[in-house]
Amino acid sequence: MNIEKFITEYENYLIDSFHDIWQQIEIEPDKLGAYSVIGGLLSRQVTLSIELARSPNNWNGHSAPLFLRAMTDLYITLSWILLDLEERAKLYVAHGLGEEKLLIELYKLGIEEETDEQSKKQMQQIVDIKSSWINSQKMEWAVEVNLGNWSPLDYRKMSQEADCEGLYKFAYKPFSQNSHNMWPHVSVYNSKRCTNPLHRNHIIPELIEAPFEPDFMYRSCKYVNKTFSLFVSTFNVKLSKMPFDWWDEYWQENIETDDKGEL
Amino acid sequence: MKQIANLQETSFIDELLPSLIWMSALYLRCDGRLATKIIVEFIKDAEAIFIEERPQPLHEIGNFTLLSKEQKRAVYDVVKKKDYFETLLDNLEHQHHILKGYPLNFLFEDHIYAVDKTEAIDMLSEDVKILLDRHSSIATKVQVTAVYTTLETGRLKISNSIELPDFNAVFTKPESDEANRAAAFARANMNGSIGMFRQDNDELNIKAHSWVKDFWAQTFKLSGCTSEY
Repeated sequence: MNIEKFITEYENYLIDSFHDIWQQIEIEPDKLGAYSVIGGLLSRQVTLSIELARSPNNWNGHSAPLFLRAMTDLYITLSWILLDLEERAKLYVAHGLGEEKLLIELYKLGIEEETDEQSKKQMQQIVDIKSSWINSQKMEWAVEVNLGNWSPLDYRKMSQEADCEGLYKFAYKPFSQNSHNMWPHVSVYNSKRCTNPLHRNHIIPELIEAPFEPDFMYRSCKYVNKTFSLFVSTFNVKLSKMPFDWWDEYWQENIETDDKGEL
Repeated sequence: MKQIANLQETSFIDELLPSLIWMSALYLRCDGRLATKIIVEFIKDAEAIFIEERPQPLHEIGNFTLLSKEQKRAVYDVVKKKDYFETLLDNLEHQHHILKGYPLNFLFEDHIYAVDKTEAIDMLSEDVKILLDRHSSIATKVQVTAVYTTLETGRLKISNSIELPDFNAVFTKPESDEANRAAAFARANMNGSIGMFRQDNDELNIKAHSWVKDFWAQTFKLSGCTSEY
C-alpha cells in the first residue's frame, strides 16, 4: 500500500470535488447566512477527512474515532438543518454567537480576578478579538446566551427526523465512547486484564499500541460521500465522481498494480 | 434492575469465593470422591457438636471466624480423631501458612508442616483461579458439594414435591443433562447465600464476618500484577 500516493490523490480529489459542488450551488440572496452555515459545514467535513488522510499514524482506534465522531455529528447536524434551512441555520448561528458571548463574559470575570498585569492584558486581547468577531455578525448586546443545546432536539431525535438514525446508533454513539473517554473505550484501548488470580482479574492501565486500521479512512470517505450525497439530492448538483466511486476506482487500479508486483 | 425494591447486587467472586477456597484446594489435589468425602464429613462432624445454638453454615469457612475459642476447641477435639483429618490438613497447610486470620487455623495446632512461601502462593493462586470461572468443572463440584452439605446437615430442606437432581452426575457424567441440572441447582442455591454475611441482620439472626474482605485485602498484596502480553 503506497500511502503517500493515496494521500495525495485522495486530497486532490476531495479539494476538486468540494469546489465543484460549491460552485454549482445557487445561493439565494435572501438566505445568505443559511448558505454560509451549510458551506462551512461542507468545508469542515472535507477538511476533517483530508486531515485524517494526512495522518496515517492516527488510523487506529485511539485517534481516528475522534475525527469520525466529529464527522458523524456534522452529518446529522447538516442533514437536520437542510430540512428547514433558513430557520435551523439561524438557530445554529445564534447558539454559536451566544457561546462566544458567554466566553467573553467569563474572560471579563477572569480579568477582574487576575492580579498579573500581563495576563490581564492577554485576556483583554482575547475579549477584543472575540467581541469583534461577534459584532461582525450581530451586535453583541443583541446576542442571546443559550445555555442548552443549539437545537431544540437531541442528536437521536435529530437523526430520526433527518432519516439517519442508523448512523446515530451505529457510528455516532460508538465513536462518542472514544471522544468522551467512556468506559467501553477506555477499558479496551487503555487497559488490560491482570492475570493474577489473587487480584481477581482486575483491569489495569496499559499503553496499548493500537493496530493500524485503514478501515477508519474508508469510513471517513463514507461520511464525505454521504455529505456530498446530501448536496446532490438537496440542490440537484452533479458530481462526476462521488467519493465512493473514487475510492473503488483508486483501489482497483492500485490493487492491479500490486498484482503486477510493481508497488 | 436496581429499581426493584430489595434487590441488591452480589458477586460470587467478591463475596463468596474466599469462603470456598478450602474446597477447591481439596478438589485440585485429591481424587474427587475422596475430596467430597472429606468435605462432607468434616462439615457434618463440625456442625454436630452444636446442639442448641447452631452456627452459621460452616462450609463457608468465613463462619468459623465467628466461633468462640471454646467452640473451635470442641470442633478440633472431634475432628482430629477422624481418618480424614491429616489429609484435610495436608491439603490446606499452604492456605494456613500464607493467610493471616485463616478461619481454619485452629485445626493446625499440632500439625507440623514445611511449606515454601512462593509455592504456597502459587497453590493458593490455583485454588482461587479455578473458582474464578464459576462454571469450571472444579468450581461446579465445589458448589454442588457445598449445597450437598447443607442437605446433609439438615440446613436445606426440600419439599417432597421437588425432584432433586442427581448430584453424583456432576462427578460421573459431567457432560450429561442431569449434571447440568445439578450444577444449575447448586449455583442457584448458592446465589441465595452470596453476600449474606456482609452485615449483621438481627431479624434473620445473621452475624457478619470480615473474612472475605480480609482475604482479598491480603491476597492482593501477596504478589504483583501479571499479564500475558
